[in-house]
Amino acid sequence: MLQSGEEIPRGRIQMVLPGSEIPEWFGDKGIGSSVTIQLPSNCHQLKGIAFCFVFLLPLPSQDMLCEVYCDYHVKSKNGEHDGDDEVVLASGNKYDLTFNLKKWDSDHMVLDYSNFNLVNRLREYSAMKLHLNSTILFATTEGR
Amino acid sequence: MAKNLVSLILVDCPSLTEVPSSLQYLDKLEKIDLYRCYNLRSFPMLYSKVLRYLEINRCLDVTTCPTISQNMELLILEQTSIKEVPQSVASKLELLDLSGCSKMTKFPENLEDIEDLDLSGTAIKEVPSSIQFLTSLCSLDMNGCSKLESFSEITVPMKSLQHLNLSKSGIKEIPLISFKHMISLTFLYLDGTPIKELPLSIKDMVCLQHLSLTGTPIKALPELPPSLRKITTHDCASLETVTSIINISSLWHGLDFTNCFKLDQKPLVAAMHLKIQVSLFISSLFLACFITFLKCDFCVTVRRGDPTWQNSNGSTGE
Repeated sequence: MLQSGEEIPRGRIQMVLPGSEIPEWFGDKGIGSSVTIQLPSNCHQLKGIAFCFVFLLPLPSQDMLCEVYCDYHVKSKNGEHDGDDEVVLASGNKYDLTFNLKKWDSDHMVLDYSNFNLVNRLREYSAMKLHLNSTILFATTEGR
Repeated sequence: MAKNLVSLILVDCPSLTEVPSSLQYLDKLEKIDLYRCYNLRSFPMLYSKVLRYLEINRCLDVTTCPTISQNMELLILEQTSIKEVPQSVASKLELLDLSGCSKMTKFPENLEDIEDLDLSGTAIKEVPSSIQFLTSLCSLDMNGCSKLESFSEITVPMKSLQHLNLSKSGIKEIPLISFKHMISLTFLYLDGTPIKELPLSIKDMVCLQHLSLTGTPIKALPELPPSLRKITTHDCASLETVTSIINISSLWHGLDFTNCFKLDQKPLVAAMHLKIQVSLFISSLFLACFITFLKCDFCVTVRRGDPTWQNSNGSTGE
């Protein structure tokens, strides 16, 4: 099996940039803290997921470390209405990012790509709906 | 006092304010370790000629180097008021820590065997070119030496120097020839210095793994060595061009351009897209999404170490 390891060491890209201009090559978009995406039909070949987190400042507790957790669940399309869909996978593993918001003077975004954890678990759920919900936790830094 | 005392170790004794002055006549003393005895008010001059190891912290009343021993291997006089280290005491030192000695204005001399030299927070104005002949020097820390404005020319390869910290010093530029000869340097910290330009010879630092430039007025990153594993660049307000890092794959797991408002982002974003597409091409699939935090009325504030930390779960907000 071919690996992208040579191109992307450790299977991860993470980049913090000032501003809020989302690169045009991002596909599904959601505003708010959650997004629902239709998974592709050939999910078994899924290689990685890229996120663009945009932080519009000011945030309520900026003087702190911030941890972003992404919960997710996958729903099959059994019912006619969204509410009828059956949850076939709920996240055990949380996808997380840590930033020190204290240092941010204005809007920033984080571009993040990874090809492990979440991706491995999604491979068997082709064409289903992936719902991602993010939660921000603020932690006071030690010594405060 | 015990005449034959060889070693006195009183680590972590905050109540210790003085040691008996009779200590100075103990001629068999080899080691005194008063690490973290932060309330020590005074310390006598020691006349032991066999002393090898001495550590005193935060004793501002010490104004002269409290030993005459020519056998010193380790000397830590952190946050004392000493102005110099006698050459006779310096000659066998392997570790010298004078951090926070704000009365030190001159770089210590005759440090032939030195490996680890911490002069951070001193008032030293100049680094002598003789440091290039310190063949064992592995680490030089001059963090916070605000009076230091220039770095000497290094014209012979320094094979041992791995760690150089010049953060928050007043250094404006480093001679091209000096970087060229720091052939083993692994960590280079220049945070908060007024350096506007890095010498092109930085690409010759074939061992460099971590370059830290936080808060510098640097405009562009020159070609960097492929050995680099980490680059710290946040708060570089003048930074515009960083295209030279695009091909150093190992840097991509943590690029931080926080508050680099002048940065030309396009080449970076395009390079990331390309890297992902290469992986997409192999696997034929890629999924993208974005999440915007417009407002967080779902924050949970916890203190680290709080048992609820792991279980905290906020509700979603718009």
